[in-house]
Amino acid sequence: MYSTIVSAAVCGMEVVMVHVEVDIAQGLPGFILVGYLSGEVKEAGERVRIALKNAGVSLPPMRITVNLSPAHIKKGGTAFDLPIAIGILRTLGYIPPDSTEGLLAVGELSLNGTVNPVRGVLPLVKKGREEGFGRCMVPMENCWEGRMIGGMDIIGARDLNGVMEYLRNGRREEEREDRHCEMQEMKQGDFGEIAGQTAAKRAAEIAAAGFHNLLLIGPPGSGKTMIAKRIPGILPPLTEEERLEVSSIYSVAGLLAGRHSLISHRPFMNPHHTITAQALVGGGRTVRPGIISLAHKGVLFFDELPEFKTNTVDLLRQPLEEKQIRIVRLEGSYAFPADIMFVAAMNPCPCGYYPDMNRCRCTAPSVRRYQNHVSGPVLDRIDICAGVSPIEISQLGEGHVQESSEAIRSRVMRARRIQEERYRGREYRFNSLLPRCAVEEFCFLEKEEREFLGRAYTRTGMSARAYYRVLRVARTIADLEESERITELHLAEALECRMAGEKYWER
Amino acid sequence: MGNMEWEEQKAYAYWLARVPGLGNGTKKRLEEYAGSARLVYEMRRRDLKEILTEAKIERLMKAKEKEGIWERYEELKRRGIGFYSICQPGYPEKLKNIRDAPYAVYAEGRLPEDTRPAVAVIGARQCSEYGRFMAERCGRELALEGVNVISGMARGIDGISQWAALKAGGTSYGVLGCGTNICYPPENHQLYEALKSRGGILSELPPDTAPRPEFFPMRNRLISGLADLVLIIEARNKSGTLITADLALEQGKEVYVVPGRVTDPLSQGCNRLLGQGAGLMGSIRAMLEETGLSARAAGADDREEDAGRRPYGSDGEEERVLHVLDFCPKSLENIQRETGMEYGRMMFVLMKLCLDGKAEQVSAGQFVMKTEDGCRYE
Repeated sequence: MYSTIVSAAVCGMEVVMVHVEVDIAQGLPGFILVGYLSGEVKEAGERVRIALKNAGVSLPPMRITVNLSPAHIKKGGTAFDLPIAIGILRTLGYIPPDSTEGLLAVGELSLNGTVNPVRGVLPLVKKGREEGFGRCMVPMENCWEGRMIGGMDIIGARDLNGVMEYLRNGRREEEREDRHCEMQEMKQGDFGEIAGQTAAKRAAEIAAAGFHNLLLIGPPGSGKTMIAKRIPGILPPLTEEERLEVSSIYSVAGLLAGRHSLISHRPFMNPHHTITAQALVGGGRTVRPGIISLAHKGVLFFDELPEFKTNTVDLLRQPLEEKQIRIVRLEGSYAFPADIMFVAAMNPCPCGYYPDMNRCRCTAPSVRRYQNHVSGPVLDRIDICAGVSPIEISQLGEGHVQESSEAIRSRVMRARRIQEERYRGREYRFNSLLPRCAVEEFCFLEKEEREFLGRAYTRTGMSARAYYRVLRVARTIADLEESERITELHLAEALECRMAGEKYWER
Repeated sequence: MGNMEWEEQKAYAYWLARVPGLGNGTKKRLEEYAGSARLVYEMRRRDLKEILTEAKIERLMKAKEKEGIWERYEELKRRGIGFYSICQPGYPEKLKNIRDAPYAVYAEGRLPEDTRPAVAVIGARQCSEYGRFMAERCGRELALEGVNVISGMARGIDGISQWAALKAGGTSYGVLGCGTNICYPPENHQLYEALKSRGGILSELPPDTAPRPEFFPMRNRLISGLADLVLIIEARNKSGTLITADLALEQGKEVYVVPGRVTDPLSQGCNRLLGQGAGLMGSIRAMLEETGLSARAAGADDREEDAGRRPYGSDGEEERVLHVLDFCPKSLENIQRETGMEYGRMMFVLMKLCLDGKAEQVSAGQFVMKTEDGCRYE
């Protein structure tokens, strides 16, 4: 007596179809699970047996063998409980053999037969559709997640009796219309709430428009974090495809439960500076996405950059270049998407008040030590630096109407459209990703401008790398103003974006 | 005495200078008692008993045993370090009269001329932009007036004023709290080398002595001792600079201060000294004239210094931005608001000023005006 049920496993971000093979035969009674399983899958045997018993199905004293194939992939998680149970039911003839045709099943069982939610339903269902499955049985609580993928018949499973009922008679359980209201997205704040800070806001706008990474420098309490938090709000809204992509990552990380909606806003990740390498890039016994991937298509913000361990920050080098992160573990190598905008903030000195020498008591060597804490290679990937100045009381009470995020976003989107147009058919889409050879082509300078930048080059002693960086940023500024030509004004502002952090870069 | 004899005396004085555990006064008394450093070396225990305690005799005797006196002195000469003991010619006259005058001083480069007026410029290590400006200006003007600038080569005011003096073609002398062959603080190595070639590095500590906190107050008495006047640019309350001011008064030197705003902690020390009767530094010229230190040759230019700003002619926008800039760092927002210019335009003008050396970005988004001669010394 043998039967196969199709299920799926999440390995990193990839979904692998898994065939759950159940064989019940004469022999020494027992329950054997094989197929390169991790601890929680091995425990499935106990859960399934007792869940079945409590659902009124008594197992015969026979030898039950379950194999999860393909057997060379390490399988973790608790999502195989339900397919194993269905496989046993089918083998024992509790349900008709054709009832599981074209069915994909995932779910965890409780001892009383209830089906509990699992992680990664979104990518699972997506993969199922690609593989040509028409029906997918998922835990009731994951139902809405599966429904986000169109073209699939999603069957919600509440408990084993319900499952049997459906497979025998096709009668579905009633879905309670519970908590189906879309959860309100956490309010991300608006640039309109920030008084003053023209320079920093402007830098954020430029960074968002050209997808440049950004460093904010300013004394404590001046609003660096406030500005960073509002950057996702001026990036273009997520497209439908991006929403699914980002939500899939959250689904795999188990962060989608209880939301009842896809991720609709660009993520903002703000890890504490004690974050470990694993938490940042992802990993763990069953490999899960790290903070970098959770910030995919959004903003990764490091507050107090010098406090982060240099080797942690250095981990960003690869994802910032390749827009994904690759983790190699015993069981294989996993790729997680990591297309992020990196924003960092720091104080100008350990106490934070430099250059106000009436308040700053840091010695020159201590300031230097503090600045040297910042990882050079990561700074090299930051195009824009801006000073955030302490707010003066006069600005606080001024009551000026500040520009809203929406207004800034419309300019950013316009600049992005210009870039899309310009780089159509090339592998880069943003000014920040322009390779050097293309800089000469797209950031052409007239004589006067070239002289201005040349003077800056010799006067400030900047490196060739910095020179190109200034040009890329100037291109973005020109795009923001819908100017084909890069003027001296654009160059001057780009130069300031560079010079503000001169002390950190050219050391 | 012949040249050879002189050298011999110096070699023995060098030995005596390095005997540990004997004070400057004791060493001087010993040499005067014995007649020369060499005779001190040859004195017997019995004779020493008349002027030294048992413990000190022990130390002296112990120091005698190991020495190759002549070789050590030759080595000192080979390294180009000058040695001057208080009982021999060449020793700075100004130091002879201070309390606890050092038995010997070491020097690389030259010693300050006794006849030339000298002003010590001192102040906070972590100075403000205003302090930086005033230190540069005072250093430069003192140099132009032909006055030696004495200071401690420290971070901040000290180093800035000395650098400015050298840049203006003047002479400056640095007094260290370590051996003259050691550059402390190390980041001032350029200044250190410049002082050696165009002025001097002085110390009362033997070569190779590493800097230690307790050496610095000792060094401060030499700074004020070598100067005729002590000028304080910026000092907090309870700062080391104020200790030097006290030493200067004790030594009978003039003390002048640069006044500051009441609310600036970096000026509180200065303002307090003003209240206690210190002189007010309005201009270097006036200060030197008041104290009779003006040594300037006639015919030098008589330009009147204004308050630090010079008129900028041609470009209206540049003028507008420059007018807003100050010694206190100003943020881009403030500059924009005060000039009333459009942001991009203001940025362009500001960047141009930076490239021309008329303005400077001291920290991210914080700008100051820059001094006339464009010398910024780090």
